[in-house]
Amino acid sequence: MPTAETPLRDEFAAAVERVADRTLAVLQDGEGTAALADPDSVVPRSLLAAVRVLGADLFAPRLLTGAEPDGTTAALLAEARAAFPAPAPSSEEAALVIGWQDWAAGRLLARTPYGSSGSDPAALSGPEAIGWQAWSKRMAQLSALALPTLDGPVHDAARAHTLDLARGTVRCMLRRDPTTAVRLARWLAWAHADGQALRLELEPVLDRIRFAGDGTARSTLELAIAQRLLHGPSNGATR
Amino acid sequence: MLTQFRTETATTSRSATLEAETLASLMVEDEAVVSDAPTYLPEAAGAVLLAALLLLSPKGPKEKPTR
Amino acid sequence: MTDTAVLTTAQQLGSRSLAWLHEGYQRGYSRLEESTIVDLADPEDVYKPLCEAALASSLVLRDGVAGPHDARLARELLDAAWSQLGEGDLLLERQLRHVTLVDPLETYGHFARSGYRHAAMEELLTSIGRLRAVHAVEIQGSRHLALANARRISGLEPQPDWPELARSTWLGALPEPWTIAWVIAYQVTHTVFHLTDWGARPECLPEPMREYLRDWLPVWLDIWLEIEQWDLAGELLIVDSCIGEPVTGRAGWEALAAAQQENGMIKCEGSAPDNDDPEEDFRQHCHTAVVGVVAADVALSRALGGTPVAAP
Repeated sequence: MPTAETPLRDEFAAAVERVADRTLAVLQDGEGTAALADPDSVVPRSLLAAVRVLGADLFAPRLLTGAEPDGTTAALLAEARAAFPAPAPSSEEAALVIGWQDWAAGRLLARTPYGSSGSDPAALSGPEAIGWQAWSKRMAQLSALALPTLDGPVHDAARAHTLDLARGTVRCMLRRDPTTAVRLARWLAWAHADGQALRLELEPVLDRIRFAGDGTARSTLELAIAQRLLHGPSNGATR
Repeated sequence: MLTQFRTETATTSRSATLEAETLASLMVEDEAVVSDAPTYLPEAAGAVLLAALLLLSPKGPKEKPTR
Repeated sequence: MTDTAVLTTAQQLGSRSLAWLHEGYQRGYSRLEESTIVDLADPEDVYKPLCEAALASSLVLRDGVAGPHDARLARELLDAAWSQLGEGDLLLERQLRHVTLVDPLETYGHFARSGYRHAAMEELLTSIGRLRAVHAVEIQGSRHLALANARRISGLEPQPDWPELARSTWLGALPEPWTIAWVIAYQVTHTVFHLTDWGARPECLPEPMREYLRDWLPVWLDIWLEIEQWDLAGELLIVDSCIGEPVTGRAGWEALAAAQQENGMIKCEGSAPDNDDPEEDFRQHCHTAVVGVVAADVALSRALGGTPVAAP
């Protein structure tokens, strides 16, 4: 139970780290599924929250090897979405970001018996309207959408604006914000896998982040997904 | 048969609002608030001093600005 | 096409920077002592700022886009600088003493272009231009380009191998754009200044460099504006005008204009201390005033008179 000394955020964040680390292990070792919880036991609420936060990324190990979302993870994600309805964000912008993250999770769940795909959230503004800086910051928040087999308006925007994604990546690298940089680099890797030509060499960027990243499991998972998108399944080792 | 999980329900001590806000902050993380972009470095002072003999190169500040 | 709001902002910013620079020299700040000209260990370093003020003034006169008042200030600044340099005698003396030094030629080039010529200096420069030593001197690639441009605008032979010089710079390698450092950024700006002769010849910038700069200049300007590196941001705005169609938009100009104080001074960086002594202000921030004058001049000249190179 959270107290003043161990705030709820720390508890949830620690759970996110555990789930990201488990997902990363599956991605790297090629195990079948993450087996995040035992169906016969009571799932702690913080684990459920972490599953809600990571959303579509829980299926990254399967999607990156061409497999479909697995039922056990899907059941857990569906449970998390039921336990935590769309959270109350601080701004309309944040609500839209969460809306699109949920869209991605919903699309993947819809391919399983736990499906609950809803309608598309409102469209996001493009870089022409809000500038490449603000747009790329938002795309970093939507990095979980950069997965094989997911496609929609956000992906179309990424395809159409790879230079803005690259500028956003370089900007974060120079501000020494590897946490945001890796999320944007992941979009570039996705665009590369999608067949888009990139104006930024991605390999040295990912290598730099490997050395100078923030060290969290969540970011290492982003990096591993980016590497896998860039190189295909055979070459994604990050550790 | 579909998999089902038994999950903890929210306790009264942690309100649903607090949980929702916490979740939102983890789902929508903002970029680093303070930039650590490159500035004049004392380590590079040697190069700058040499350059200062030449035209139109910047004069380095006397010390690295604190921010 | 540069938008008119940018041009209005640039015109005001440049005009106020020039006025501040002119007033400082009128008050007698940073006067050159005759003895310092050959003393490489000059602690006060007034020679370099004087030459830079002369450069800015020479560009204002070259491009002819300033109003009559500003043109008069630029002419007065050049006259004063030429006079302080002994009408070229001190440049000659410095170049005689230090055969492979770059700056006397570089400075002389801007005077020569504005009609201030010194026959013995030109003879000397032609003579030492034939020395292998002068071309082999181990300086940064962008400094070699400074020499080359000075020879070009002074009409001196021999003319250099421009493509080779361009390739030997940091920018010529088209490096990973996230590796740029503060000092390197100044090398990049100077590579562009000299290759394009301060915006007069955007077509002389090799095409791969232009494309590279069009991609990454907006990022570099953004990160250094954010931490209020006004001097460097101003140089990046000059580059934006030198590469053809500007790519960075209004943000840089508006930020720099907002940083400009009532009296026309722009601090070299936002965190620079406030001084009680206006002469100390002048010493610390005169480079940024030069940058402001040049940035405005090149932006206006490219937009009004120059033939912009079309975007690829």
